[in-house]
Amino acid sequence: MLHYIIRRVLWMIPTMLGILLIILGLLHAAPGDPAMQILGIGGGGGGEMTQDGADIEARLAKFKRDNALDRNFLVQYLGFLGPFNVKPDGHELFGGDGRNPWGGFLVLDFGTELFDKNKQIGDEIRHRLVEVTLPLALMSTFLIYMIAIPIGIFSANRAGSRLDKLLTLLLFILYSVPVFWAGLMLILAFGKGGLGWLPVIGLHSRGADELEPWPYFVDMAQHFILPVIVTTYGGLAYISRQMRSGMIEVVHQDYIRTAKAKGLGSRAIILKHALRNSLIPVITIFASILPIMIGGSVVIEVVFDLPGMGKYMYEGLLTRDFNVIMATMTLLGAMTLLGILLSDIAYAIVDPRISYS
Amino acid sequence: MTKVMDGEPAAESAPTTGPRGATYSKDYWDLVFDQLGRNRLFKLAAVVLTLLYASAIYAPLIANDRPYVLEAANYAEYNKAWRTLYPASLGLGSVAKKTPEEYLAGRTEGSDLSYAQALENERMAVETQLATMKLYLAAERAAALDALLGDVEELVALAAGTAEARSDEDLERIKEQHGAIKDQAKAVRAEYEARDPEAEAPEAATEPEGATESVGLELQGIRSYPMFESIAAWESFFMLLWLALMSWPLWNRFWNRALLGGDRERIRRARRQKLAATLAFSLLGALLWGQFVGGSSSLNLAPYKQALTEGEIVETQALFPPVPYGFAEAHSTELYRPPTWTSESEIDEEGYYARGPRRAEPDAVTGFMPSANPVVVRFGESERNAASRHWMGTDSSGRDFLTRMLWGGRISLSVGLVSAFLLVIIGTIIGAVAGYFGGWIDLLISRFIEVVLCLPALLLIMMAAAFVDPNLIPPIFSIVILIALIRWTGVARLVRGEFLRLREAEFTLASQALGFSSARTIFLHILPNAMAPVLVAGAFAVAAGILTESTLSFLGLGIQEPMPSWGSLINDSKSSEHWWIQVFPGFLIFVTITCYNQVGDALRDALDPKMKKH
Amino acid sequence: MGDGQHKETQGEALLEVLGLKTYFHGDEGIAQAVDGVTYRVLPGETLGIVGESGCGKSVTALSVLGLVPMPPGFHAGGRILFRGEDLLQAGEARMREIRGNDISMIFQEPMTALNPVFTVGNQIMETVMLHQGLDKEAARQHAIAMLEKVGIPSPEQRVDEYPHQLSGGMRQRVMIAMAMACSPSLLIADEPTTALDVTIQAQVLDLIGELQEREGMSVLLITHDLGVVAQTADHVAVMYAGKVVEYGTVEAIFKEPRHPYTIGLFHSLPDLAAPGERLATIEGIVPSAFHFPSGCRFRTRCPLAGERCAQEVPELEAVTEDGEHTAACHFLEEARALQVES
Repeated sequence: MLHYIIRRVLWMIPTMLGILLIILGLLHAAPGDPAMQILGIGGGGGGEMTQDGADIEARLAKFKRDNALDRNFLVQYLGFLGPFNVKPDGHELFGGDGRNPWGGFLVLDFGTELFDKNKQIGDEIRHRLVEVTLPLALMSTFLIYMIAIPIGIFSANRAGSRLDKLLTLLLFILYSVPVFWAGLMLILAFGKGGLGWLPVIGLHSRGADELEPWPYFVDMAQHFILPVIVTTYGGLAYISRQMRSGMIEVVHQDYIRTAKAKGLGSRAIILKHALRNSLIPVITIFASILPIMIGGSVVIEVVFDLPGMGKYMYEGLLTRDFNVIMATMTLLGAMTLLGILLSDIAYAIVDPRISYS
Repeated sequence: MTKVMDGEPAAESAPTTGPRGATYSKDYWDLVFDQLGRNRLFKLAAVVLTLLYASAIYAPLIANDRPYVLEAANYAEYNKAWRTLYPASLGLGSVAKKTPEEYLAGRTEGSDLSYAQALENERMAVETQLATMKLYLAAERAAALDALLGDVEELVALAAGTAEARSDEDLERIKEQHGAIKDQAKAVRAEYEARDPEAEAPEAATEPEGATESVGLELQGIRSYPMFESIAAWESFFMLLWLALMSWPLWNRFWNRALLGGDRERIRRARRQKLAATLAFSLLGALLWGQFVGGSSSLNLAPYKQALTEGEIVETQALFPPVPYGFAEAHSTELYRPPTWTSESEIDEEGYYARGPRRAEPDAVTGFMPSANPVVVRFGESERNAASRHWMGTDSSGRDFLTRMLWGGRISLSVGLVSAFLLVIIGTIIGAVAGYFGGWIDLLISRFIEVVLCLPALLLIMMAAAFVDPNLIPPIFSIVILIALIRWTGVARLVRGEFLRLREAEFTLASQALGFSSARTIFLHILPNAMAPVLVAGAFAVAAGILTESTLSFLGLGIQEPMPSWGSLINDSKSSEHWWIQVFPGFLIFVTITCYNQVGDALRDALDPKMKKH
Repeated sequence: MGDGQHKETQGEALLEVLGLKTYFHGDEGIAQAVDGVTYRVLPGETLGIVGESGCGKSVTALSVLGLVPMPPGFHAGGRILFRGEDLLQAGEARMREIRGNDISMIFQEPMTALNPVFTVGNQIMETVMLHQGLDKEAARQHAIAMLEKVGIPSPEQRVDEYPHQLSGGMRQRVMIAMAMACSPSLLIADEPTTALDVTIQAQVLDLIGELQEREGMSVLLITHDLGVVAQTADHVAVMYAGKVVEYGTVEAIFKEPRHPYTIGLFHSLPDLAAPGERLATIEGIVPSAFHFPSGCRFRTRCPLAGERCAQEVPELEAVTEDGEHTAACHFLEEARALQVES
């Protein structure tokens, strides 16, 4: 078991390298000069105001040099990866003057924002992760499993009944609702334009800093309700359906018949024999919905204006801030990888057929 | 003792072998269609999708600011030509009277026209005005203009003929000719003025001569079909294709009875031919259309409505599409107007909202009212407060939202379909190669797929989309390509799994033992068996593609202004005041995704090799 | 056994199935999978039920323990008497007491019949803890003892292993251990050796026979293999298309089969004494349970079929004076002639 975990963790390393490669590669593969895009020259969006003539050339060149965008692909890759700093003030190996020889993700240096050198990306990300993105993701995962598993069992028990058919239809519809639209509709329904029950923007109401701890917490919780709902419903629908069909399939297996032949009651059969077997695929599915959830978190944070890591990445995209984009994408990829790893480990724990191979 | 399958008599649809190993699937497909036919939700989804695609394909017919048919006289155009005739004839004269040398000497700087070319230009100028005028005139009136044209030709021939050596007599004759022309032109200027379009129009527009009144000529209308002319050949291809597919039950029955004599075997084999016939029919029709009718569906704000409203064009007959708006046609007096069937959308004569949150009131302190901006109702549109005026309201530029939704559907629906098609092809090829050859090829490909799948596809696409220069590649293409390039991995993994499984199957060994090449084995034998989960994945991929495109456009990273797509329409406003902007396009996206998911589910159930019947 | 009257022999038989009818609802109507089947199992003896796939033999066995899935299936008549108690009338709670306790069952596919996520020992312990109220430690000891009894080496280690770590033969032994754990009086074995290799087959059959002797248990053995029947059974019931067509002792049936179907079965066995000869078959295939022929269900494949066969369902008639050997055919005399032909 430990052996297995260690092997999987070691596997993460080349995968992470690959992830970084793909991200950077994609950024460069997109037709159009990224630097020009960033500065908003030649029709790309965002960036600073354009000026005329040779001035632009000079600015472009300086910008590229300062941010190591004039180097070849490999050097840029190493620059983001670390541990060498390849900028003009970086390691001598890469032609820098040695003031700041170390940098890159390997030493947990995420750099500064391209347009605001005072903002440390690493701090910003950490702040946002802890405050928004992680709580949202964890709460959502918890809710999904808490609700989906009983629903799946219930539905499988009453398979074919009218209630089951209705539930299946509802879950199916729920699964098909686009995430951003769901958010918008909930805002319309519950926000000020509609029922006005819940706050819909940001994480705190105006003037929340002046509240006592408990009301402050309640206020924040209120702001969290709709985002959590939107983050949860998709995965909930999907896993409930999987749970149900998995259960139905398991219940038709021979060993269930054996269990009945031994004299076990239906409760023991379902909760002991069937459940364990049907949980296995559901745990592994988590690995495949995780990327979707994380992708969705960006949309949700934008719609609800939550200051999380997803929104940070989006803002970085709008301004074409290379550093922010690289840092956030890499971290999101790492989070996904970690989730997949956890899911695989859980799978190995629960299913005795997998272990040492 | 013969051991037989459990209780079941030999199936009537026993597999038939054919020249190629894959023909067993004919009956398989019969069973599949059977299963699908029994699935009510699937049929519902199919119907809804068909209607949605119809609305997208036929959008120009449903919502357009060009009329279906227009019989009208363009007074403005006529009058402009009428006014230009005399000066043009003067210009002709001036060139004709000069000799080439004189002309070249007096030529304006920067011009490199030869004498002959200049002469030609002047002639054309006069001819154009005359031609334009003739369009709208009755035959008798036009005759006089023909005479003038004849004289012009003579003059030009004269001038050109004596260009080399011009004697004094020649010059005299030229001057004479020109004098005659001038006189005629003056006469035209006196008698051929059309009435002022702003003035009242007489009830009967059929009087050939309005010359009794000194109001001016009454022009004849010419008939045109602006909307049809704006439909391009490729658009007509899809329209014909949809028609052919929709009428399939009808002509299929005829084909089966008349040509195949009802023989089941021949009917089954004719399937491919029927498909080909459909495509050929549509292609042919499109080519013909392109030749004889079509133009290009361009973005221009066809000025028809404006011209009709302002009376520049006076119509005798104009038939507009049911939603008479262009998708880029702005109404500056109706920005963000709620759907006109709601009470909050009511606007009074001065242009103020009558009730609701937009109600205009005098400022509490100064008593000042915001300036009046009355609604402009253009020709062909419904009344100011008619429920049918803007069924789904307007957007930030006052463009009719329903129109934009219809046209936006074209992009949203096609992006989903094309990207899914591409990604299935890419994924299938790569997955097949990995699964079939195994070894280090498989290892490499599998590792790559694993890494890519670790990254949220949406984010990768967002990232790449943000960095694609919209000037180099139009967003609609880049989105399709990006989706295909990033999402093929799922299908590849699926196909690889199938190939790994089927590679060990006996029929593969058999085909290899017979000496078939790898390619042949892959494509003819293994692939048809592996296709079932791929089709299912394809349906879901369309849904995912539509979701991705709309999310991207909603975030501002996808389709840009002024091209509409359902997602970008929602991007127009996030304010809860403008609920219609968020509700309607989003609802369409939701419905489309639901339908494709349903199709995927139904396919999965129908293609299940165990054919479980619950 | 006469028609409609099912003689109940008091006190003797351990299990008596009387005129059992188990039908199934299906898309094509009602399948009469088991249609008036009668047999008995005496204490300490083995009854073999033989027939082709689809003749309903498994369904009768499942009916005894009430394991037939009841939404599509339903009982249309008959009685199942276990020690005089009608199991068809007993409630679910009573059935649960009996299952695994008084009557146990083992199945065909040892691969899939054991739950893959629980240890072998756990699954054995489950039964004793349920029916005999043992605590964990005692149950575990019992499980180890059972594993030893069924001939599994190093039972103390095996008890903590998972099914996928054992071979097919061993898994079947585990199944047997699980079934025997509470010392049932009747063991129902549904094609226990079909999925196993021939050598393992023999071992498993020997094991069952051994345990039967030692524990004084009865066995109801379902199989399609005449060889298995010959080796293990005392009495034989031959089933076809949901009905018992011949019934008697093993010697009687094997020496003098009287029903054309049974005769056909024996004829189709390869004859070692005449190698190289073409294998005989029974013409035709088993009819679908939804569309049984009228009258005698075997008539579509029977060389002796006559007009009467289409109109009248043959009842089991005594072939010998003591009534022990019975067969259901209208042309018993002619069948005798058939049997002589080789």
